Amino acid sequence: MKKTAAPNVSEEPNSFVQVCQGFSVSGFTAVPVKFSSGCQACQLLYLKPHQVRGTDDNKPAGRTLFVLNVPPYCTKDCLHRLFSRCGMVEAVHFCERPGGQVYADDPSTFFPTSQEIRTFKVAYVVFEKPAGLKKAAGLKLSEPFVLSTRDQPVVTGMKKWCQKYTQDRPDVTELQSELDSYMADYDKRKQEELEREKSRGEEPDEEGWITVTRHGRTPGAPRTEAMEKKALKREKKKRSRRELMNFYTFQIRESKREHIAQLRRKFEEDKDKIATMKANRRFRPY
Amino acid sequence: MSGQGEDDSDISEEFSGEENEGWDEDISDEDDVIDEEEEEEEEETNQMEEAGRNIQQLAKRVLEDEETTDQPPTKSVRTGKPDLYRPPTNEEMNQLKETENLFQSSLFRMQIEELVSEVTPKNKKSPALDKVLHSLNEIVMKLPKTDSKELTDQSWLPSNVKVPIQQSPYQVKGHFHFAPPTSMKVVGSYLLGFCTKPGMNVDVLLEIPKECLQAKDYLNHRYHRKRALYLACLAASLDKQDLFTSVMFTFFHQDCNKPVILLKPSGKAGKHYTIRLHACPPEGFFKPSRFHPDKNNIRSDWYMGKGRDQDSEPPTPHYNSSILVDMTMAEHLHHLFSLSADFPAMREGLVLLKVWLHQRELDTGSGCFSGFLMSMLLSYLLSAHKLSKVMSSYQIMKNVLQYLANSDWSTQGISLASCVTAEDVPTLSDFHQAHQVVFVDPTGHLNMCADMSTATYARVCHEARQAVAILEDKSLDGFQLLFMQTVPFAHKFDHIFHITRVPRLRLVCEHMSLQDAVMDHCGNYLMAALPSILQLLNKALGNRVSLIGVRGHDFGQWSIGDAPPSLKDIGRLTFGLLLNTEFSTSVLDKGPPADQPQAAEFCEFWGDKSQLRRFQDGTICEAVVWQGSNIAERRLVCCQVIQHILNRHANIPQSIIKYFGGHLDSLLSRPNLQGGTAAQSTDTHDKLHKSQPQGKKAKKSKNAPKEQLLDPNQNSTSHPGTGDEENVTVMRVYNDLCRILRGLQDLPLNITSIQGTSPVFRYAEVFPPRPAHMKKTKDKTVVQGHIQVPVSGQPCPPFVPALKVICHMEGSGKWPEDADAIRRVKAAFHIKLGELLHKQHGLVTSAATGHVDIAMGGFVFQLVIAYHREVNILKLEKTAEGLLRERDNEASRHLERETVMLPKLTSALHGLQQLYSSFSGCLRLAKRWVSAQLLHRHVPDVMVDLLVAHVFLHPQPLTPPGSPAVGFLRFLHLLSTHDWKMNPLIVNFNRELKAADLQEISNQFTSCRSQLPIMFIATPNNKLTSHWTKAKPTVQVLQRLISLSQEALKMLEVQILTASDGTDFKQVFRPPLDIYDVIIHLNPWNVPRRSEGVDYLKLKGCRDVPTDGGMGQGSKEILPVVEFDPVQMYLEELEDTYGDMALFFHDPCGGLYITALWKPAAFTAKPFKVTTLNGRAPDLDQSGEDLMMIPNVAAILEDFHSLGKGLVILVDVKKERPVVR
Repeated sequence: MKKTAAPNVSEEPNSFVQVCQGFSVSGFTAVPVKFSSGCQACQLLYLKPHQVRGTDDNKPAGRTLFVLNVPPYCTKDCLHRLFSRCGMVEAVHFCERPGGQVYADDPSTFFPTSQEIRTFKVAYVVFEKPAGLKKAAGLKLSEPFVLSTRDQPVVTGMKKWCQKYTQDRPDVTELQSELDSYMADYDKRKQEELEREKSRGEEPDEEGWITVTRHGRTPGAPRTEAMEKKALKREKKKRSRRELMNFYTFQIRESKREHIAQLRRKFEEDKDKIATMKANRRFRPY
Repeated sequence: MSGQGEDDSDISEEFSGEENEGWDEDISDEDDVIDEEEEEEEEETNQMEEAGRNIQQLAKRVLEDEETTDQPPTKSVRTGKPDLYRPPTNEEMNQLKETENLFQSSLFRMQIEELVSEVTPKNKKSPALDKVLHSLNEIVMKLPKTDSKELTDQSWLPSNVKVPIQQSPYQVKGHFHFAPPTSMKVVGSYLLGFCTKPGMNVDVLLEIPKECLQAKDYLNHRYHRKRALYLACLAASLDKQDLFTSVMFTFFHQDCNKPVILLKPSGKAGKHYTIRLHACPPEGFFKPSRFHPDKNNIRSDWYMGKGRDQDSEPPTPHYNSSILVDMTMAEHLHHLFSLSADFPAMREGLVLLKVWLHQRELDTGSGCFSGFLMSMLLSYLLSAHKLSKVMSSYQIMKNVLQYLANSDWSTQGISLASCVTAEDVPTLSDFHQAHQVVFVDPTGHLNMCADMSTATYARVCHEARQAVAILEDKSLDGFQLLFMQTVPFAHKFDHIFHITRVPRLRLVCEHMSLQDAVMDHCGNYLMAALPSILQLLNKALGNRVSLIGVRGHDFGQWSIGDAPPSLKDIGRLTFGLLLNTEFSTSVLDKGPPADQPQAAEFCEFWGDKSQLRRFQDGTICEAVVWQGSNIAERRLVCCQVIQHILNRHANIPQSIIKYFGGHLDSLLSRPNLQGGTAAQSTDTHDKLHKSQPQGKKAKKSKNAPKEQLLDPNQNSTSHPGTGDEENVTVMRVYNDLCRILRGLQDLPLNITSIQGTSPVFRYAEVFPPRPAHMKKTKDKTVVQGHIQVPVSGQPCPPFVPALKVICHMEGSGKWPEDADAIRRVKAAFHIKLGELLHKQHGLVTSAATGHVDIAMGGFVFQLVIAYHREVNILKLEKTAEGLLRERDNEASRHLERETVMLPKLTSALHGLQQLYSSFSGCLRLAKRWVSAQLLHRHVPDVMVDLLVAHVFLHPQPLTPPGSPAVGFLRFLHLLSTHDWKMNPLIVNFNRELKAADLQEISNQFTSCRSQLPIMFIATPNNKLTSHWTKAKPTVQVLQRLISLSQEALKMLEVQILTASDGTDFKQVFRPPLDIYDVIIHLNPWNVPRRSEGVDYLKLKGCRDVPTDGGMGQGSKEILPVVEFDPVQMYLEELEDTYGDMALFFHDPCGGLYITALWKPAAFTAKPFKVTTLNGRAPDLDQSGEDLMMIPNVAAILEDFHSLGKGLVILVDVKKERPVVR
């Protein structure tokens, strides 16, 4: 990993633009972006073609650009705009960390499965053609890319929070209808499962075994940790009931010895306590 | 007696010739060791050598005996350490048993041993000191005589010294000359081996030779003058010696007529010891019967310049006893010496008791309960067979405290001279007539408690009762509470007041005609006036207070060339009140019926405050009514009573009474009260209806500075309140809501429980909400149906908190068994509940997926449905073998906290408030302080609740706080002094945890300390995991919290005890900003809670509270903007984005800025790695070969702006990178 950045660039923030020109570390190139045209400093996006052994339909090999250090306020639209200059962009996916799960569109409007990512994130930009990727990987900008423009502003601050407040107050009828359809679906699913279990509980499989389920003709106890513990406890109780305490002389002797040992142990413990207290100077009253 | 009597010949003998070699050796020996801390190790050998010497053989024997008896226990067991099962020896069995019987536990015993060895000198005798004493003796005996002069002619005195007492009237008969003392004796605790650190004093008694005195010197201060002159001469000549590093004067027990010389020996002895020189008349010079408490020894014609005939001269008991003290010193020593002879545990017991006294400040000031008095008490109890000589130190201590707890020396004094039956000895009743507290010495002539006030004695008894209760409660660590913890005056008393100008008391004495008492006290008008003032206070306050304390004043030391300090120099006289909260806030003092003869007396006492009143039961009584329109004002009724009574009867004007009880109230009252009361008064069934006119008054005086309004000393027309009434209103509306919910029809399932979990339901909201108005405002905020929403570009709408209520629904087979489905069912319930409430009760509601908002009575409640099995369902996970098991995870923990633990805690704290009325005030002050110090986000909300609960539930060795301010002080004290690393903090609600549980907690704590959070708090519901403090606070935050609380505590204590004018109590609520790296200033218009700020300035033309005009216009009721605080959302975003680079701090109570601190760990340069790239850029200044990445600070700072668009006005950068601290 060699230092390729131009040495001794002045401290001024825009110097990052020059850094990016010659930036290339372990396959990554850098692209400067800034929030708005009024900003002085810029953040750097680090990008390289996405290469991972496993296949993922959302991140097709050869067409996906892997982008690191995406600022939290950067939206999918922004990246769309940025990379459109290299070729048509098919989709942009955000992830909290590299290799994270990419969710396709949420099935539910009111119970989203993925939350808004508010840290620096990772983006996967999927181009329509491999050529776009190639072009993007060598992208060099002479000016930092502006994320929030007059035509396509990025909503932050007060505006965003006000919008969010409004969003969090959903229309009750819409919500109710979504709930109803989900629950109908859920009930159906459960019903089917029940049917399946019941039928499994009655029919032996090809080797003649009958699976015990909770809903068959002879329902079994559920296999949970709690149940196993309970069983163990019951066993222990039974055993202890059978035993007699302080019956033989040796038992009495034993318990006496135990008592003295107890006293001594306490004494030793106390002494240790004192020693630590003493070490901490806990005996200076004032 | 000759062995003990230690007269000067003995001393010179010991120190002469033969031993000198030994001396030198010892000293050189020790000099080597000085560098290595203490001189303990070579101790034993030294002792052996010393044993040969004939110094105080008796005392020595006692001490040695004790040592030998002390040793065996530890030794025998320790040798065979791990072998717990070896057969016990007889001796060992006895030892183990003895510990259980004689001491509370072996731990207690060992702690006592450690403590005693810590506070007592390592050597019973210090050879270096003995040498000093020896040379002192030589010097003193060789001092030259002076010529005889008139007493009033003091020109012959050396110029480097001034007479150490006030001489008024100056003119007095008699003549005086100096001569070396006839004897020099060591007396007091040093000789007996009872010395305790700190400030070990060696009392040396010098006998003034007969030739210097005249037969009638007992009259008219003459003895005192001569004594002072004698000491002045001595001091002048000792000052020239280089044997002593300093020669000072001080008053013995702060008695203005009893100066003593303080000598600080140079060299090693001076490190620990101070020598005090006393002077006394020669033995038998005065007849003790002269000083009978009925006798007069100060003639009025001399003192006041007007004669009375012989018989009407008032007795001068205090003057008499002050001479008797000097006469009996030597005899008292003999008495104690013979007592300690075969009483091995006396020394340890006495040391314990002295430490106990010292920790409670009972052994300072004039008329204190000194260690000497305590040893005399031991002697009395021994003679009364309440102690025996075979008792252990623990038993001695416990029995003495038990005796004190039930004693009453103010009516039934005790005497050590019961066997003395000489005729001229005064009886106990003679003493009772002359003094307030009586404990007669062995001679029978002296009351050793002559100067003690009833207040001091009452406090001793009170503390003893506390101590006995602590010792009897096995769940408490008695040792720690009794001996290790201090009980400072400012923490002990709920309210404190000062009489700020002590010289004024001279006029008070005249006003109350106490001239005779002033004469008896030789002009000390403070001591003369104090009993009468205390009596007045006791009568006026009655059962409002359970104890009145007086802070012992201290004249300090002064160098011999200065004039002695006078009462003027004390500055103030400080009283403390321990309130009886049951009665202290009552606004009515009911007197006798008007037709009874006592009525006149009542009227006389209360003056124009007393009025005739008809009561509900038909009686017509005299009564006094105090001002108290709200709870905060009622808490200060005692202040009104004291001001009135002291002004009326003692002629003390209000201006010099400074009362501290409500000094922190201003931090709990909102500045803009006007709107609040107006809104309340519109609430028709509001009980606080009456307070409306006051609200108007306050409105008028709006321009006056707020502090003035709040200062109780100004006796302003009204008190703006401290939020207690608001709490009550919220709770009332909440209870109405609960009733409505339970009565709701057509719900598919029943509601099993309703529990509020917002801080306001546990009285923990710094500013409890006021009823907001629910009508559409003229603002252009968009209304979506019936819901008001914020619009950007306009000032942020006023803050309306959502009060969270958890509503448990009953179980049913219909509930799904899948977490996602449960969420949907709950959402359906929210919708249903909202609809039903709207239909059946006309309430405005708004349902969302996670909750339903209900507007009622001006408040918005956020109802959340809970299902008891959901926590378990969330916990379920399937192992590889197909076994279902329950494991905690993030989601389940969160749900459990919200729906199970928080409701339990809330109800426990709710209960506390019912028990202690000042709980809420104290808790809110503590919260306010934590948030004002910008630490609110770094400390779990509940932590403060638990700490304050601890202050109230476990106040020992104090009593539960009776005012918010003192509770706050103790909160700071707890926070700063608790040893978080070594000890768990246990908050035992309802005493649910038993001794076994406590043991289990502390065992578990010690064994897994490293895995447990730094701040470990155990409660009955959460014994072993300290759930609430698991993630926060971090070690650094706790450290900061501790150091801040130490500072605050120091400052508050000084402010309260010095009572200087213009004290600003808000000072401790202003955070120091110099440590922060970045300060982000916010636009006040968009900070909805700005009006809560500590230093709040009203913005022009803006609404600060959601209460104003436009009411009752008949417009539709709507749901206001709820829980909308842009600052919190901004902070959340900042923390999510930059939480690993910086820490952010903010005061939610109206803070207008956010501060940030860079994290040093994040600023180390790191190589380019995919996982650690966030927010970093290449380090341009770096000269090495490898490319290193550092945080892109410039961009981050601009992001602070971008993320908070519309809220941030300025990002003030102090430092661009963390400073290594």
